[in-house]
Amino acid sequence: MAGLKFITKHEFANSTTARASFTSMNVSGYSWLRIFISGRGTASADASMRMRMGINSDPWSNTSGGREWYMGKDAGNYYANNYNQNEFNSDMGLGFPQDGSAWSYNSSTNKSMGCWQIDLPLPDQAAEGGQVTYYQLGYSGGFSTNVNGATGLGRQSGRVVQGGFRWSTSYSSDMVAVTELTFDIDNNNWRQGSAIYIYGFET
Amino acid sequence: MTDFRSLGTHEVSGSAVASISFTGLNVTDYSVLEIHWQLFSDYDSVAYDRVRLVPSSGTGGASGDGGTNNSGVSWGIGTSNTTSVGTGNSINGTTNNQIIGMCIADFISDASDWTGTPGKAIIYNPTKEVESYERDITVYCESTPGFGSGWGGSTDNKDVTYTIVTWPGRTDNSISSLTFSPVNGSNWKVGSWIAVYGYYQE
Repeated sequence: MAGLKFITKHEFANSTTARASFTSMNVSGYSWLRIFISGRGTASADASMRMRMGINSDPWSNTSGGREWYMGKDAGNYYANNYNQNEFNSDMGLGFPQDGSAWSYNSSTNKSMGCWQIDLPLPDQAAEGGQVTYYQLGYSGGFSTNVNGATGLGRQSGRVVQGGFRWSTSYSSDMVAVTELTFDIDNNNWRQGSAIYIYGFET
Repeated sequence: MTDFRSLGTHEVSGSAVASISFTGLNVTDYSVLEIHWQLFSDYDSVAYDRVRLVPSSGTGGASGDGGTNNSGVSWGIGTSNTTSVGTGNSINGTTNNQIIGMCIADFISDASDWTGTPGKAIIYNPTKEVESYERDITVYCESTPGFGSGWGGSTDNKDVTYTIVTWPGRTDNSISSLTFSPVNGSNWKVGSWIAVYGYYQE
């Protein structure tokens, strides 16, 4: 009976790795992937930071124009973001966590942490008669910190988002199988304690 | 065998209960827990309530690394109506070893009988420690806002509410029990229901 299957994982054993790549993936037999990311704050200072996700490229060469759509902080307004790269916006999109003064009530004792669930459909063929030839995903998640304080973290720091992303790399005919997934932190490293878990829903 | 596995369900029957507990859990082999509920609170002074989750084990101590055993702090999307959606404030926990803000309808009022609507929580349960510290657990929660005293009983459209909550303290202990109780009310009414699932990792 078809169900959910664990495929692979990466648990960061130190804080020196900027990019995790899952190579030689075999997604045959799966209708879609469910990816859980348990991320720890990555920086000791406030800084711009993004997560980039590559599909079938290492590190993320298919960056000619992804598009992200999301509902984030101050939602009710809907944002579309076009980075022209396949990365998630740190400010308003997926919002990867970082430790830093702008995030914390007391940066000396804070921790920031995030979590995301990403669902990646795995179509066998392009849609719309071959016109829609992009991989895309939907996600929900965000970040928080442990900081208790008068100002709280909410308006400045925490962020919960739901969104979608479509890669720009198109496939000319049928969709090619996913063989590699890459998760990169721009400008920094994954912090030890972060983890990526990949599951597949069987066809 | 599927790797999405049931860890237990509970439904309140007979009479209302002050809390619902899952004990004897062994989640070491699960990367993520997924919890679904519909919880009917008896609180009616204000027509909404929240879920308090007390992880009676697996909580952190005052380890001095930032992982103090404070309550979880959450930030949520969701407020009283669709004209100002997403402007809800954060909830600062003030009680040790509790996670609140895993809301039924935390930013919502002005309607009656708004409890008992479906909600879910995703508990990220990584195995690795954070540098020299203990490991961090994070909770994502989303919940529907509830219904009025009758279908269409409220003129106020409600937003789905989302929160991210940190676990109370870094910990190397495995989660072995979870207790759910109402924040404002005293009891969960008959018919309240919780199901706990886990994503197994080999």
